Amino acid sequence: MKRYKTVFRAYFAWDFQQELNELDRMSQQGWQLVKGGCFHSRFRREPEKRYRYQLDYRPGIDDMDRYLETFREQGWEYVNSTFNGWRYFRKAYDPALPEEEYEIFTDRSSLTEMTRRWMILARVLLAFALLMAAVEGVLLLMKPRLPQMIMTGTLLFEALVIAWGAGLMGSKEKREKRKKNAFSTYVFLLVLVLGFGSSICLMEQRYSSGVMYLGGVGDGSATVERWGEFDIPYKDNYYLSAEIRAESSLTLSLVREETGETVYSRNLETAGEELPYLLLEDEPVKLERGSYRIYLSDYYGETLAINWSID
Amino acid sequence: MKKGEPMSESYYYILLCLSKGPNHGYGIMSMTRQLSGGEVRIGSGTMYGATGNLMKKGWIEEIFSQEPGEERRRLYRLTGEGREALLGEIERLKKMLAVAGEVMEG
Repeated sequence: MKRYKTVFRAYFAWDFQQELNELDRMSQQGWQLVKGGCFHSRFRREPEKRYRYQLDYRPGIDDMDRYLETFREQGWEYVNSTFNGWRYFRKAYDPALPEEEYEIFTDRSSLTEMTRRWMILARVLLAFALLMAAVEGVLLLMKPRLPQMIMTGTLLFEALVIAWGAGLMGSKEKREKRKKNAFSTYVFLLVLVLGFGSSICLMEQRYSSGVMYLGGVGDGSATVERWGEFDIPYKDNYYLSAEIRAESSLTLSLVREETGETVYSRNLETAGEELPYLLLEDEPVKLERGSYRIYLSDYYGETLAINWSID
Repeated sequence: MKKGEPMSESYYYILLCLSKGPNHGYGIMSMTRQLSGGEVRIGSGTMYGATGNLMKKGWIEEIFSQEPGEERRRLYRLTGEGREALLGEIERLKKMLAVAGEVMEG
C-alpha cells in the first residue's frame, strides 16, 4: 500500500469550505494532509488517525510565534502555508467534542476580517486584469488583430470571474450554498491557459515569420523585379508599410502564391520633377493563411530603394 | 471599533478576563467559556485577530511570564487604557439595561 499520495485539485479561494470538506472526507478514508496547496495537496496514509481541518488566509504575519502559539494552545497543529498566505491547520478529531471545537473563527466579525484580507488581493488582481484589458483594447481599436482580440477577451473573462468570486467571498450564505466547484475551476484555468497561450503564440509567429524587411538598391538592369516572399500563419487583417523610390513608374503587387491572385497593388506616383515615389503607412490588407509574394515590376528604369514590412 | 463604540463579545470577554490579571490565550479562552456558561467561545483565529487588534489599540500588552515552570510563556495584560475602555463598555451596557428596565416595566 502506498504511504503517500498527491492529489491535483484546484479550488477557487471562495470555495475554501468545499476544500475543507474534501480534506475531512480524505481524513475519514485514512489519508491525512501533510501539505496543502493551491493546485495540489499531499497526503499520508494513516488510517488509525482522524483530523478536522481549518484554513486561515493571512499573508504577512508579523509575529509567527504568537500566531502558531495561539493555534497550538487550542489543539491546532500547523500543517503548512501556501505561497500566497493560506494557512492549513488540523486538530485530532474526537467525536465526543462539540462541533464548535473545530471552528477557528467563532464570531462573524473575525470571519469577515479574513474574507476582507482576501478582497485586497482580489482588488489588485481585478485592477491588473482590467488595466491590461484596457491597454489591449486600445491597441485593438487602432488595429483589429486576432491575438489582441483573444488576449482582451481572456482578460475580461478573468476580471469577470474574480468579480463574481469576490461577491461570493463577501457572503457566507452564498459561499455555503455552492456545492461542487472543481469543474468550474478547471474551466477557468483552461480558458486562461488557452487564451493567454494562444494569443502569445500567435503574436510570436507573426513577429518571426510575418514581418520581413527587404531593403536594397536596384541593380541597374532595364527590367526590375525586386521581390520578397513570406508566409501568413493565420487569416487576419494585416498592415502593409513600404517606402519606394524609383527612376520610372513602377507597380507594387502583393500576390498569393497558391492562387496567383493579386491581393493588393499600387503604382508609384510622380509629382512634378521628382522621381516616382510610393509611401504606404499601415495599408489594411485582408490576408488568408498561405504564402505570398511581394514585388515591383516595370519595363524600364530601376528600383533605387525598396523597404517594406508587413505586420 | 473605536473608543465608546459597542464592543464585540470576544473583545469584551478578553478584556474582562484580563481585568483579573495577566493571562495567556488558552486561559482567556477557557475563562470566557466558564464566565459565559459555555455560550461564548473564542476560537484561535478570532483570538489571534482580537488580541492583535487590542494590542494595536494599546488596550492590552504582551508580557512574558516569570513564574517558575512557566518561564517565557506569553501572557496578555490589560493596560490602563484597556481598563478604561472596559469600564466604559460596562457603563454603556448598564445604561442599556436600565433603559430596558424602564421601558419594559413602566
